[in-house]
Amino acid sequence: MPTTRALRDAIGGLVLFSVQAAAATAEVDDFNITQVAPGVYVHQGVTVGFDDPGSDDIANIGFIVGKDCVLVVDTGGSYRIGHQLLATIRTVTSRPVCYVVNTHVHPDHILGNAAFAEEGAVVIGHSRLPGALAHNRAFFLDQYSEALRTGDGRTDLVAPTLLVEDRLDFDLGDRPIRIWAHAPAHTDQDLSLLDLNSGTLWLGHLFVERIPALDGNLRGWIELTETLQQLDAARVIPGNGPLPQPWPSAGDAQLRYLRTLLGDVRGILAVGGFLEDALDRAGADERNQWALFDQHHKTNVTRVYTELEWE
Amino acid sequence: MRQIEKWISGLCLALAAGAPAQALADSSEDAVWNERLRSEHFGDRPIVDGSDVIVLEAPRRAEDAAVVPVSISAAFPQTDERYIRAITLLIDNNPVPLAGRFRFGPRSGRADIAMRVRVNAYTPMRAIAETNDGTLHMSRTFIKASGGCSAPAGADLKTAMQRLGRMKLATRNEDDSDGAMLTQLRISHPNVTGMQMDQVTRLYAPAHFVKEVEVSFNGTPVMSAETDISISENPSFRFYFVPEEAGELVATVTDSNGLTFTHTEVIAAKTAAN
Repeated sequence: MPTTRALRDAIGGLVLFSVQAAAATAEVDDFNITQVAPGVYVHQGVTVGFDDPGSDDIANIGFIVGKDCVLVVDTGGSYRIGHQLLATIRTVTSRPVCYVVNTHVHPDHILGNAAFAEEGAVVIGHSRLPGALAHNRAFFLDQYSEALRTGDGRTDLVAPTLLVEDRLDFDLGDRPIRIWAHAPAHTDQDLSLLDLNSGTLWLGHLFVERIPALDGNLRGWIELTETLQQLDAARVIPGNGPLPQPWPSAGDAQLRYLRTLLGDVRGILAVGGFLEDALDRAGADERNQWALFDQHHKTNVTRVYTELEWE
Repeated sequence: MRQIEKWISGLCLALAAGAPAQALADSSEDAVWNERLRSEHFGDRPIVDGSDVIVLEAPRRAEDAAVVPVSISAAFPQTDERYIRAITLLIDNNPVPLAGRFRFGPRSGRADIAMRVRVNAYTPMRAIAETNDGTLHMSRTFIKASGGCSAPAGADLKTAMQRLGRMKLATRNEDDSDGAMLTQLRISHPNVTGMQMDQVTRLYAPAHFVKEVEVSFNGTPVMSAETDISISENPSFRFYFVPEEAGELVATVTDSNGLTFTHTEVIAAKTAAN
């Protein structure tokens, strides 16, 4: 995948945002929305497990307002959440929602898509997102039928129609936006988004509080995090947890965790260790560093072990 | 059908979602076994509680339903007088419940076997050991897994096919193993289930999986297995054998396409446990 190279090239050539970044102000309403920069609004999700109450509201989601258009980044884990986001947008602006961006396939980021269908929004996703959605379609419809139910009782998954293979530049009206599609990292359909006016980098695949969940490729995720850290951004929006975050330092915890897994599991494999050994020992010191450690850590170790055993 | 769809379409997150539990949460847990599996595999032979013969261990909740570590340990060492001849591992609610049938000899040292399996739904899992007197002994556990995920077939299939049939054999002395050497056989094989759809072509990748594994030491069988699609991608088996002299440990693998792969590991003369 050429995406990492494209990203590196972009870093060199970017003329970034003006210095109005300091104007980040907090305006909080019922839906826990913060204006992190002029025209950039983010709802902070809750840090709960996937089977806990409120689990349709895990992801940080939000929108960016341009002169002509509104862009939505991720739509939450249910029609209900997506609809609340839309209602919030309408308290801020009457401009149309032209675009919805799905940063990856995880249900807390995409199941609210249907709430924006009536807006006629074009849904943007990684070129591998439709495949991932199709792969999980039956599972989503079965497991999340209530979350998917729309106001008029339909349940369906809304898939992206504008696909990004490498990079996409577009404009919301005096508001240029850049999206990168990545090689497998957190998932195999990760997107990153940059609002050039404010220097806000939106990383659905960045974990700052909640245990990172590996669903793509460990080495790819490390490389992506390192590469993105070279990008000069005023702030980042992580996929979940407190926001906004300073950049590049907000990537350090995730990077430390991923590198620890890499080192520990390689070490265990090098001495002929088994999966059970890795499950016992790899990354054990990270336990107190993350919320919901037990939800994903062992799954991560299993994935890392199987990724590395034939490297 | 519902199960099969789950298998095909599992979400790539370890979801401990409660929904699938209700169907299986009562005494009907063992329905598949009672109504079908038991007679299919063992006819009307009596099967007794196996806790003094084998112990089956699996996580109560699968962390990654595509890669669930399972181990079966024997309660006594293999001797000419008393040994375990075969162990059958069944995962009741998988599309093909028979995960594997493993055969051992006195040379095995211990009839322990560990592997990684796919688990499709909340399911009982059971190991049935046949001892050399012909009796059957069962150890059962129950496992919660839902939304099992493997990368969609096709994603990494090309890379996987390039190293198809490569093997690694690693041995390790253990202090308490009565001279038996712990051995791990890793096989690079995608073990395609036949139920994974390629999202680009919309076709199901044809089933292609490891069917037979035979491990021998200087020509004497150590462990052999008949396996099926419940075994995870890149099958990995762990077992014991007793190297009483130096020699060659040979693994031969045959897959469902009739391809055969062989790997040899030279084992030095019996070393003191270290």
